[in-house]
Amino acid sequence: MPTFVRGRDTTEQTVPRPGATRHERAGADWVPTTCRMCLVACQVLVRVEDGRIVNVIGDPDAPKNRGRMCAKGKSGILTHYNRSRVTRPLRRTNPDKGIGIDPRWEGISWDEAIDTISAKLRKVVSEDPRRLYMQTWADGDFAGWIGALASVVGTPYHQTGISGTCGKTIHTINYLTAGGWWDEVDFAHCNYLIDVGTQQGIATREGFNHSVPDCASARVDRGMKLVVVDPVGNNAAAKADEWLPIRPGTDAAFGLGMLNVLLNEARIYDAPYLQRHTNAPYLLAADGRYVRDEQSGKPLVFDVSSGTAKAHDDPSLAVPALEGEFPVHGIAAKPAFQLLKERAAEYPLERVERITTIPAERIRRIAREFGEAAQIGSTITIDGVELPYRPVALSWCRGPQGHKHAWHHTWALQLVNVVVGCINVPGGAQSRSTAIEWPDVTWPAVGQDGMMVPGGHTGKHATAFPGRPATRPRRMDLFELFPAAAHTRTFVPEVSRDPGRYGITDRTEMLIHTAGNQLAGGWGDVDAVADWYKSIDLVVGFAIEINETHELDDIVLPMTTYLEESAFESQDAVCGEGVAFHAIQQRVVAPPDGVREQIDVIMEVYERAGLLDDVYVALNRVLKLKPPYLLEAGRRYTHEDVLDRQARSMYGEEHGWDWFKEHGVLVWERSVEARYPGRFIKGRIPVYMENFIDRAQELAVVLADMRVEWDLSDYDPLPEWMPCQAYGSLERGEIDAIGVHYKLPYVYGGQGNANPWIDELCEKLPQSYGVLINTRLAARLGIADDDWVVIRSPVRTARVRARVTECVHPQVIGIAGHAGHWAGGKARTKGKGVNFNSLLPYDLEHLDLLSTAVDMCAPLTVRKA
Amino acid sequence: MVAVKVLLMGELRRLAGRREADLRLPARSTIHTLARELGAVCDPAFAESVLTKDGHLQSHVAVFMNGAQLPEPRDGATYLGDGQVELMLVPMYEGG
Repeated sequence: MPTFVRGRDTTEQTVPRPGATRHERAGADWVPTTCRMCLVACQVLVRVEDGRIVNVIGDPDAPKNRGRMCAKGKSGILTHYNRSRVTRPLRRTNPDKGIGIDPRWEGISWDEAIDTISAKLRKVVSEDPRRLYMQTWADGDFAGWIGALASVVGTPYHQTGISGTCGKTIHTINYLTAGGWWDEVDFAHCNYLIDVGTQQGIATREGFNHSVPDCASARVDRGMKLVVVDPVGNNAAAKADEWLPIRPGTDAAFGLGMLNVLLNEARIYDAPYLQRHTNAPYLLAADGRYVRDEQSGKPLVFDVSSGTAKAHDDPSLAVPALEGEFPVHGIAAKPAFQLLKERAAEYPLERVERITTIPAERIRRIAREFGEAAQIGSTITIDGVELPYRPVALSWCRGPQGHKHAWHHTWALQLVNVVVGCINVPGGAQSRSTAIEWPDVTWPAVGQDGMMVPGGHTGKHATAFPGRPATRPRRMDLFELFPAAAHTRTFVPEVSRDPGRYGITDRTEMLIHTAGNQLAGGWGDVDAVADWYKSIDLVVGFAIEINETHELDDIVLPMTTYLEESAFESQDAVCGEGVAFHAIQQRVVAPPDGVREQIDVIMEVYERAGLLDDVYVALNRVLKLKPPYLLEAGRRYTHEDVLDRQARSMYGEEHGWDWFKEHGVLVWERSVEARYPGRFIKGRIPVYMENFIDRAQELAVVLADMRVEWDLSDYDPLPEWMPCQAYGSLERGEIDAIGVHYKLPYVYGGQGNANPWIDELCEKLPQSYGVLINTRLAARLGIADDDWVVIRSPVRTARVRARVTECVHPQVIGIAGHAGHWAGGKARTKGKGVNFNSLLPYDLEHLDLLSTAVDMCAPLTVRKA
Repeated sequence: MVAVKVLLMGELRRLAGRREADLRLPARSTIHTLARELGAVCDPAFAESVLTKDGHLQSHVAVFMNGAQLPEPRDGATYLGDGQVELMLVPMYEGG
């Protein structure tokens, strides 16, 4: 049992705010819950007076945001009191479906809506459950109820990520190199941060509301240097010590250039770490595979001290060789690290400059500064435990992974962290949920060939190591053809164009989705995506307001806002901090007449379809319910009943749902080992993906059998830069610029700018609804600031205001936020700005054939309107 | 001997042709043993759908033993334990 603490005692509060006393008087309260205005999910206190929400503030007891909140969270009140809100079930009466076609909604009763849905569900499940497809996004506990149905009936189609880039490599590479879910920076100790295609610590990312003040403190208190590498001079670039404008789709070259300086020029790397905690010393034969012990089959390492090759886990192994070539089993074998150095050497900085447009000397200086700031060999003592001290991090996320060849862009960048040994140690690149101590214990384990496998936090995501042998696909997302991808839903519209090409017989007959707005923000070319939705017999959408995806629905069901629904959530911790916590989301006010909580609705659908008892069996395990709190067949529970069973099963009788409703968050101490698990993990992490060789060969056999020709060059065990199509078009002068998307700290996801306060911010901050054009490009095209321009991609044309600026790469058009709505339910912001995803070509040439990321380089021509 | 009650979900239920199975296996039996036994009494496609050729659990099959999910790395060589064991095999369908 850990030591429980009050969240407010763990970190000094720096933000004065109004009192947050519960049950202040009859009819007035501050209710603790979780904000759902973006994925971060900060804890908030909601002021309720006489049944009306009048204020939302950050919860000072919550370690995640420590009393802070952002503009998106504050504006949640107006998402809740939404004039476009759907408050009764709707049925489409217009049989014609398509973008811009009026669905001609008519209101129907809940009974009729649920009857129609459950009858169709019963039919699909009895005939072929694989015809059922479900999409959820950041939907609290509802995603769990939907996911349970998928397992119970036997459909592989529960899509939990919406974006065409979401988690495409950030999760797989974090599993591989850190054992966790995504990265944060240990701002408590970091002295040098490079943000590549992300705004970590400034404007976006998970943990936004604690990382922003922590980053600011690191810069003010210790002079932490911030370097931003991004095509757009975004909020992070504006705050940075240095901004390096980079040509889109060249991150791998930048990463390899950094590696070349560190490994070959400056020779700055953490050799003891690489020897003991990675596969850098594993010997490789000429075919790229490990040289193995003939008896045990274990990968061999050359021991410099004895002059012999030994198994990687041989206790007598004293000095593993990292460089050179050694005779083993009659062949010349090289350590994996040697090959990484040789690959990096193929990227002299003059070549990197030609690719990225970043001056060679600047990359050289940044790489040396980064390496020197890593203080390799230094230690720090925290709570009596001596730990490596590596106060540097290279943070990357959506930008580099939103590309063709996404794996290589991000793998090259992550290896910069690996070679200086800064992962999961003080000052470095941390990973969330690598180690959990209570009430469940999960810790990365040792898997095949001594490599690390994550401790069970991969959810439904697949891991790149060891990966899966490819087989002929049955799934319409071709999951079987992507042996190293976390998820492959981005292929669904592509396959649906011609399923026979891949031998796919699955067809979606029924789709249930929530309000994530897959059409506007999920894939590329919206016409291709709309074609898939149009091919489905019954599309059911849960909606707060009618968004672009809902306009293709057959039935729309009103759903609660996050201030009307409850969720148990899951435990969490800020990387490096001394506490872990579990915060809940709870109903603050009742939904309006006609609106029912979606879990209550789906329970009724399951019950009428005859599936509820089986869902209970699955949920008992998935929700980790324990006797006497198991859900029993034949009974109907309220959602709050289930939440109470979850709370008591997990935290004991004294921490039931009522306790969580009163306090909002449970906080407890955690050990130094869990806070900084890096050197306590026994499994090794890869610098060389040897498993890719077998996975690619297996895949090649399957593809040949299918008579499908794919480029498999991405299955290179080492990072490599490969150009995307837009890069080539730009080089050949076929386009004026590459359109890239960048995030605004006040706009999030498919909901975008439709909130009135967010819209007001966007109106006042002119880059929000305009597009950024570099001064030189604008001059060449005769465009002045505030001119209307027409931007044309191969799949879409848009008319938009030009914002002429130096704050964007000269070959780039910067497009912000999530704008350009066209749905009727987005009346306030309809037609404002550009919908970025609509500009993206969507086909095999623009999908990454290893990770399945959509290439977010929009090839554009630009003309004055 | 170990008495094993196996609950099957989704596609595995269809492949096995039954919702659940009661088996008695020798002491120190493994998940692999169990899958082979189930394969013998059910359709052979069932065993193929649960285990890889190398005897590892297919990555899409979640195994809950006495209510708790088996941690990573999952291995067909995991012992079932002694006495009475309730095992649930759930296809989790990777790809979030």
